[in-house]
Amino acid sequence: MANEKDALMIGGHAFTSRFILGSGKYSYDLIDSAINNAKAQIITMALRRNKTGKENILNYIPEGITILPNTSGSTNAEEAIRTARIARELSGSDFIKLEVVPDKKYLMPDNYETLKATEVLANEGFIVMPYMLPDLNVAHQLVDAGAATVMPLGAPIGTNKGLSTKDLIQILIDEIDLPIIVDAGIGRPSQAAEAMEMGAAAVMANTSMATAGNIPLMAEAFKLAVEAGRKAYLAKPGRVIEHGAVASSPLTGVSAVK
Amino acid sequence: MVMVNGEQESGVIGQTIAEFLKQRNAPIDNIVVEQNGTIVHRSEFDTTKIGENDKLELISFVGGG
Repeated sequence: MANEKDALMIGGHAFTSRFILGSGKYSYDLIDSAINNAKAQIITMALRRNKTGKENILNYIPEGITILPNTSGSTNAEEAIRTARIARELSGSDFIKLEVVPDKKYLMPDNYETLKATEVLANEGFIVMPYMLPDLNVAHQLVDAGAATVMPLGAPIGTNKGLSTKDLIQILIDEIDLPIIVDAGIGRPSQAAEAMEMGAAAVMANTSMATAGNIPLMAEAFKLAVEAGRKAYLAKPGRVIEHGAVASSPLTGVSAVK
Repeated sequence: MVMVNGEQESGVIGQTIAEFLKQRNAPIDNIVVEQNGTIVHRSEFDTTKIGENDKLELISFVGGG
């Protein structure tokens, strides 16, 4: 089957799912059904000070699911590196979704600090998946620094606005030889499908799930959309005619009354 | 004075990390302990003691994107 040959490779690990699920802002009770319906193999998590008595999210994660810790809350490279090391201690794996976000209003990542942290963490053996504002030059530098993927934002975190940065993401897809995973802003399955159709290697979503009326159903919708978009990409979408039209039916042999 | 997650905590000097976590019913599989900025590995919980003026950070996975 096409899917078996079409694995998503991240840092030497193969995944058949191209949808990365976030776990923020919804009940842990729904994680299992969201993972199952999304057929997700990777779930993101954050690290925060432990408050005794709070539920342990790890009790809600099914066997075999890869935990992708993020460095959210970090405002510079140094903080992100510390968080990544703590994450590795806890998860026992090298995966890290690197987020360096000093800006509190738009939650814009700091590409420069992200690059610095990528270099350090990659040298320490981490599988670094940096979240970034789509910029071709920085993406090249992230590749050189040892990133495993590049994760450009589609729109500001949590907005559900979709692919506001579409043209810039397309440049990364065309020019960067690493999986391009669209990270933030994806709010609708149609937007996820569009990103995949463009050639994104995967899509990550959290708020779109957390703010949906029916989280498990939305998870399934995202699964279908990501699969549809991927198949469309592999099928090579046909050309677009900007002006005029091209008939789909034969122009000759039309029956006439006279 | 011992600080735990930015708050003052008394009566813990001399305890091992393992004893301290047990007392708080902390989930051992989901907790990292930093002592004065250095990670205490799980294998060292039984032998690492809390000292005067220690700054401890207890960190866990939570839901997040």
